[in-house]
Amino acid sequence: MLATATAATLVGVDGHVVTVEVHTSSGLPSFTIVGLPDAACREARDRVRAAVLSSGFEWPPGRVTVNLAPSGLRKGGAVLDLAIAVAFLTVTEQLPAESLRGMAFVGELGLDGAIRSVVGVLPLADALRDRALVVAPEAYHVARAAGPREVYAVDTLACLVAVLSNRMPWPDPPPDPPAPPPVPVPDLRDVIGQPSARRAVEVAAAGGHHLLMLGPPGAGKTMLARRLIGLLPELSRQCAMEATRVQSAAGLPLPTGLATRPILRSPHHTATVAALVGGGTAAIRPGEISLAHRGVLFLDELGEFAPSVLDAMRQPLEEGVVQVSRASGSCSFPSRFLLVAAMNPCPCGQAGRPNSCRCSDLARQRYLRRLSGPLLDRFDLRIQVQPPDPDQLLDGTGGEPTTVVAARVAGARERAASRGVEANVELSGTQLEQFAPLTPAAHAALRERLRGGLLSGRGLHRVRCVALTLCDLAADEPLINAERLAEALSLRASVGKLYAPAAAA
Amino acid sequence: MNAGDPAGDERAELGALVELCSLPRMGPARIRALMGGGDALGAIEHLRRGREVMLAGLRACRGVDETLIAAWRRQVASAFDQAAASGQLVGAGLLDAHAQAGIWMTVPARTDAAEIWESDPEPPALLFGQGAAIDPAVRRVGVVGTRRCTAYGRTVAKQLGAGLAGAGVAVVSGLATGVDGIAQRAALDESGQVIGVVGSGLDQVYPASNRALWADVARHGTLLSEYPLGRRAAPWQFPARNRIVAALCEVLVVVESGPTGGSMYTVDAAAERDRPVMAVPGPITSVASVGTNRLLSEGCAPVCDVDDILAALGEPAGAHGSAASPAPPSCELDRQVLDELTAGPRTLDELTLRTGAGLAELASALGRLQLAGWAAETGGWWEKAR
Repeated sequence: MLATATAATLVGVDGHVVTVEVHTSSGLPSFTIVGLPDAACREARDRVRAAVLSSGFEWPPGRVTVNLAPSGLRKGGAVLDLAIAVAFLTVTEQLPAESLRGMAFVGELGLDGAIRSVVGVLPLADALRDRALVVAPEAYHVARAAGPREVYAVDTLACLVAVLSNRMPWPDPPPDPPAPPPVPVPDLRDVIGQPSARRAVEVAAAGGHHLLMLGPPGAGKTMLARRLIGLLPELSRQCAMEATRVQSAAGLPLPTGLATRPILRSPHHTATVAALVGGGTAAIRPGEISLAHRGVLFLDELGEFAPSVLDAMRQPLEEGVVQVSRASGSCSFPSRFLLVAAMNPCPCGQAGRPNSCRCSDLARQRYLRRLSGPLLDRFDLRIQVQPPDPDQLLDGTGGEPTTVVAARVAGARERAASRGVEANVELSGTQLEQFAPLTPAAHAALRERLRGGLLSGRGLHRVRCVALTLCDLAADEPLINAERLAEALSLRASVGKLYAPAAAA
Repeated sequence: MNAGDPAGDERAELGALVELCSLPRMGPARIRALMGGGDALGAIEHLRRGREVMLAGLRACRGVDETLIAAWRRQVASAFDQAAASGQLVGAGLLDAHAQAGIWMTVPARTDAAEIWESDPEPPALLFGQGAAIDPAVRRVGVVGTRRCTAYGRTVAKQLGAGLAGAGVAVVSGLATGVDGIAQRAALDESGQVIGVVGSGLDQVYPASNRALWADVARHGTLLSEYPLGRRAAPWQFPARNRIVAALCEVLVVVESGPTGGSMYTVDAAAERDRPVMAVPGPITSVASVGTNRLLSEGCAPVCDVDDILAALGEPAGAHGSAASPAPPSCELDRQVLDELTAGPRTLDELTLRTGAGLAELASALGRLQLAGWAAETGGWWEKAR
């Protein structure tokens, strides 16, 4: 006797359709699962048997063999529990065989027969989009976001069997989650003073420019980074799908189904290469840079990260995608994120002010050497953040609130979209030439800087790009004049030359 | 061994001296005490045989104890064993190694520039050098200062280095980070003469960031050290190096220095040797100028220009080198910003708060000041560069 049911398993951030075949025959009672199951998947034996029995069904004695096809694909987790159970109930004639046609089942089983949600519902549902999908009620909204033909939320195995046997209708779907608040993060109004930092955060949000904040602990770097999220516009459907896919595959909570707001990820500086770019031995999991896809990756204490970890980010930063390869296979994860980093100018941190730091030359050089030149080059905006002036802190009123700044950012993003990119940071050199012409005065100023060695060729391109974003924020002609250029340059502190050797001074 | 041959004698003497110099914690004073007016060949023999009478002078030196002498004797004995095994002079291996690295050795008192060392309280026993020998006909000025110099210090060091080079004066300094290195780099850029004195073996570049400068000084100037190949930088070797800088220069100029530090040691050493010390005045608010301003109040001559140094040397002041200051800023905001920077380094935020100007205007002003050479930026901090 043989029956099949359809389910899916997760590889990286993609779902792959799996056909669950259950065969029973007479013989000594046994239950075997074949087809490359991992440890959690093999434990399905005990969960399925207990769930079937406690839901009031029978487990006739005999040999039970479960095959998971395609057998070359490694299957992980408890995601196939539900499909194995319904296929078993069909083969033992406790469920009509035709009821499984066109259906797919994604869920873990409890010993009491409860259906539970699994990790990666969105990519799984996406892989099964041409079928009617049965999931746990918690996973309903996420599964719907993938847009399969039909999604049914069922809470127990007994209930599912009753529905499939036409003894009752499909249960009602769970109610829609409450809408997220319009400004879900702390307000920029709380930032007092610090005009250049506020400006840099606004420019970073508008142009997608990576931002490096230098300053002593307690200057408000983390505070600024948290407020940057609120300035970013809502994700487009396409971007939201990409972001939700990764977040779902990583098992992050998705209370509203689709993640429509950009996410903020702030891994601790002890993160390993695998934690940051993705990896793992049994199953390859996305790293922080992919979790932050279409959102913000905030690296506090950048100087404390291992240099190898930081350099591993360089290629994904450039390409927006990371290919993680292991012996068990390779996965590619999206990784298009806004990088915001904060660091002290030296190990003592308290004294960024020139000539007042107490660190030894060697310690300082070693600290800065952790940032490779190529990584530093990726930061279009580098600013010095000092604690706000005490007088301002005491009697100063806050600056512009998030809503006002976010409106400007949205305007700038629209202008970028009219150039065919998400944000200005993606513009190439030739596109900049086309979209952001220089005035003669700006041209002369740039030439003088290049001659004086104050700017590199690559820096020139980045400064122009930031100047274009400044134009967009002012809702101005995209013409780069000397003043815009000067402002763009002022947002680009010369880090790393801090204690340059005499030869370069 | 070819006794009686004058060249051979000299080589034997040099070999013994190199061997003595490469003993750990052996300095010129201790070598002199050991030699007791005799030669190095005799001294090393005394040490090997442990002749009590001859070692008495050495024992009188501060910090020398029996364990140290025992360690020295062991090392000397093994050097003798090696020499005997290879049938060569003592120290021949070291001599060859230095010759191979292109390093020459001189006993300071026997060079053309011997008068420099004539009345020196502590002349080096042996100097290792790369590049040209010191030409006593060329005037020499020491330009020293703190490693943690400000933008102002960098500008002045550059200006003085280039100016002295233009006037045909050799720049003597310590090849360190900061003022020392900047002044010498500027002099090299003007194809001037430079004498760099370092505090480690000539193959042990310190600080490593100055590797290129180190090589350029060896190629186009004179690179000197008191230490044999392989000797690593150690804290006590830098003050010792500074006394050589002080001895080599005819006038010492301190560009920027805190109240204490290596530059102040050089000043003391220069005073001990009757070398005139001059100082560059700096803002009284700057930590990096506390030392130089104190020197001025103690009566050192101020340096406002290369011509001041040339006058101290007795050289004619010329049109050379002394770069004219840039025109003062014309715009009101630029002047206001420059006034703010006079009081010390500022961030963009502080400047916005103090001048009340917008970010864009302020950025333009700072850009103009930077291009004109009035201001410099490092890591988001703006400093007055002049």
